[in-house]
Amino acid sequence: MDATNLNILSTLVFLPLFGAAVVALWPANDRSAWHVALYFSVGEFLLNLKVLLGFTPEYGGFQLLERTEWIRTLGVSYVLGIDGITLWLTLLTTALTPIVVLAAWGSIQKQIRAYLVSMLILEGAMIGSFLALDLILFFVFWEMMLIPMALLIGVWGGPRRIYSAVKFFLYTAFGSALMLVSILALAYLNYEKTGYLTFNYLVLREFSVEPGIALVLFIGFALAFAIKVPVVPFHTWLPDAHTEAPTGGSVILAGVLLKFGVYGFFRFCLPLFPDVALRAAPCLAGLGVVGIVYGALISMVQTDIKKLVAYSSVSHLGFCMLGLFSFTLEGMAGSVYVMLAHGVSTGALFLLVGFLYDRRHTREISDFGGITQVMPFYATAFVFTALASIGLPGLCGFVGEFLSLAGTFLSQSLPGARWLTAAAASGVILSAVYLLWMVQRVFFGEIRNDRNRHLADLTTRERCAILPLMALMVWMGVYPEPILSHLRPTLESLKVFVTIKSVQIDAEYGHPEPPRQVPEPQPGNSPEITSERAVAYEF
Amino acid sequence: MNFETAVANLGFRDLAGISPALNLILAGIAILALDAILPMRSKLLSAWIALLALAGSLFASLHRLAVGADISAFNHAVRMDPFANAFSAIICLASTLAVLSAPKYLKLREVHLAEYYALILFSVSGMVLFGASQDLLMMFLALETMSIPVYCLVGFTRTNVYSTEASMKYFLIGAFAAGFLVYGIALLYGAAGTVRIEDLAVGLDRAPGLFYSGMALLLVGFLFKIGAVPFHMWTPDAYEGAPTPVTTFMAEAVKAAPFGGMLKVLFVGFGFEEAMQVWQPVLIGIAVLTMTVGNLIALVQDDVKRMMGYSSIAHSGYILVGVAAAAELHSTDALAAVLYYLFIYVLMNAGTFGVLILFSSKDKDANHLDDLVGLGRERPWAAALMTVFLLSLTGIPPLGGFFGKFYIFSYAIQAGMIPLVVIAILNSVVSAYYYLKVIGAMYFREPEDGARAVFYFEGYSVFLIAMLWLSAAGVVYWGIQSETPLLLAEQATASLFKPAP
Repeated sequence: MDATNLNILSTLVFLPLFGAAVVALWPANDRSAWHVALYFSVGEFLLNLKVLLGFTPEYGGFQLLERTEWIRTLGVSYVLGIDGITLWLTLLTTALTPIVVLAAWGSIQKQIRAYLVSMLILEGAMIGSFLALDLILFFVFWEMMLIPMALLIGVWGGPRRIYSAVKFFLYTAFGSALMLVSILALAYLNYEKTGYLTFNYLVLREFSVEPGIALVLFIGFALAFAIKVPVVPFHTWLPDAHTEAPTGGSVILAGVLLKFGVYGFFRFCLPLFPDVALRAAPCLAGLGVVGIVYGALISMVQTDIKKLVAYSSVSHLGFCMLGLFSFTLEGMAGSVYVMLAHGVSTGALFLLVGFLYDRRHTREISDFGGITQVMPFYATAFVFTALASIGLPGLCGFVGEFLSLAGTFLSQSLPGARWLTAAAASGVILSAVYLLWMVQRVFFGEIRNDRNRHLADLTTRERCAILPLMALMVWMGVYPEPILSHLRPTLESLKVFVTIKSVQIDAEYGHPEPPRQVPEPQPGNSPEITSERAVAYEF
Repeated sequence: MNFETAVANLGFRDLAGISPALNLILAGIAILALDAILPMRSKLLSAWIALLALAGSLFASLHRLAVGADISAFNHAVRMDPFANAFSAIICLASTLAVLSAPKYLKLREVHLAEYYALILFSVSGMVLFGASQDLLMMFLALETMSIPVYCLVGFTRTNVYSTEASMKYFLIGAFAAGFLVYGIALLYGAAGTVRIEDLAVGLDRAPGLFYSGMALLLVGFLFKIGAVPFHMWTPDAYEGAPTPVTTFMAEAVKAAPFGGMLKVLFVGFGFEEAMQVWQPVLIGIAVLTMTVGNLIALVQDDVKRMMGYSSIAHSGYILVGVAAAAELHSTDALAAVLYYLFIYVLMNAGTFGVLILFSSKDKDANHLDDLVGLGRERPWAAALMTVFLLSLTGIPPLGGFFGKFYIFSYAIQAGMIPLVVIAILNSVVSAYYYLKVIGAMYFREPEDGARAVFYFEGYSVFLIAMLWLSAAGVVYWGIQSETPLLLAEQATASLFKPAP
């Protein structure tokens, strides 16, 4: 565990923030400031690859831990650590940011420097929230993400940008406000029991909350994350935010920001309140399925390409929720994999829609038709990405969706798991319907609109932005093993941890009903847990 | 001790004891004298004198706070303990920022008079003594010393109708509040037979009826001063009408100072045990009302100054949550959270008004939301500073405002007041809307006719720029490094219950 001498995770968090300051103060013209931002974001990605190299795939706990005191009076500390889940999520973040920065030039018409600064601050905040292992530190980064994102939507967005930015901000702020109450209450409950006030996640997750109170606290956390995902009744901010956001904003919003919801369920809701989470699983998985079908149906009737992609995010994120709450290894791995694949494929779709919008300043499907004839490269890229998003075997979407459906099918803790799977699987078909139908209307047939006759194909810069993503889609679809092998130990130890803890809680507080289908703890994995706990007690 | 011996006992020690306040009074008198001798040159010079005096008091208070000095003076009427020093430091800091914001604005309005600085200094001396008073009469004197110059300051641009109207309104309501206060003091004296704050509690056994009514009146007086609902009516009018530098002064120094006396009376005068039964439930109700009413009315304001008036009401509500939590927890550490909040509140408010002053021109204040449209594009740094202050007011990490709320709310949670915290936190989400409206005007909106907005730095002065950057740096630095001020504040509040030397 002694990799702290490098402080590589802190560097990972603060490099983009430093980059933002450099870009803001950069004395030369905007174009060179853009170059600087590009260097910083690429450097960040390389640094993240170095983290990947330093990561021990066989170990399921937190690695490269860094810890220092922050506010001793209230037990707030600065703890960073990385595990299999956040390893890939940070890589997704740092991979998407250079692409977004690259795509910004030419697409962003005003105040590009401020745009880049917001983007880099956003990146730092996102990385920070993924790596933070202190609840207050996590909350600090979590809230910090809101501002640059709201600015991205509000300043560089479309005609209804102000409404969308404010809606986005208020929705998310509302959720996180209740989460803060839950965080505080959790820490003080732990304080009452142990006499030791701390917000350290590694310590707090050892603490079992009494089921009645745990339910309330769980709702506080779950609401914040459900809004972020977004789970269906809380999704109404998403289409607005996506439609109005600039291309880069949409890419990051869909690619990374939405993942924070699912990540929150993984990191906080499950280990902190395992008993409640397991009991709420049918409900949340059900909402996931509702999201899959509902998102797909709504996508089908959209007339705006970007809105269509936005609703398809609701659908895809449903797979994440379903896989996670199936509570099987396959399902959880599928959930993470869908997050990554969705980040790449939907990010690419938003990027492509943005390229088209830059040329035509419209996104109405009916304004297009026959684009293939004038933009062959673009059309190829788009169809390719759409197929990846649909989940064509061999491309990235398939692996994750398959895993989470398989996991759900095998799930023992979800009642009616097979029905849920069947309903969710219809989402796969529906996604083919809405995406392919849109592709057909936009790209094939005759050119009906004369203004489309002279559209230029993608420039080199744009190709540079999209090609790496396409390569990723193929790689993730054909050879998912490296990703899955890094994920597996983390998910195993998470599952064992949650199982043991929920059994303990049921034993400690008694269970109102006979324990339902809680799998027995697997003794083979327990050494990992104990070493995990040893880490926790070091603090 | 009879009167003669009491007077004879006064000496250098007493004067040295209150030197942070005395220093300000002397500087104020010096400014007035200088103005009489050198009427042509005295304006800027008096600004410098005021700044020096305030800086002197600030450092003296901080030094005393750091070494933990505890001095009783004037036959125990005044006690400069760490608690008083902490308040004195906060107030001197606030007033320094307010003075820094003033010169150019006043010059533009052609009311750049030396009296302005003298009035500020006199008022500040009252504030310093207010937190240091150990008996109710002293407290009343200090309160009036603090208030009367502010009535004049509000009407300082005397050709402006709004300014004079605000001054009149503020004066009448302030006098009304002072009336309550005096009446309360009289009743408490009747009950307890003393005006010493430490001994007030004996009145509870001797004449509970008198005691409670006296206490209620006293509390009403304080609540008027801090602008708590339902005694808040004067705040938006006074804030809107007063010249912006005076609003700055009111929103920070005049806001923070009454808390000093109030905490002392509530906690020392009535003690924790009494607190729980008597005033804490009332205070919780008032806190909820204050936050909610302040935030809801602020939502519909288009004038930033007026909006900040309502926002300052809402912030009083958050602070009262902290006070109630401290009473519940019987903990002076929780009171330290209140002090930290006041400290950060001073910085972020100063900054917000500072940016408004920066874009005020000769004939017009840049107060309306529409006046700020396009600022983000034309003056990116000014807009960025304003954003920092507004986000801090909203409570977005990692800025000071977040940690202020975090401390207060976490003590309140510790005290088990979860519904109250939920209300408070939802209120701060509501407040995000109107702060965001200002940010939206600066960044999101563009001038309607498609032309570029024009912003002149008419209010520009080195003083003001220094003030803006200092406040912003403070909000960021003391936010992330919030522990240092918090520990100082804990030392300060701990002294509240130590017997006077």
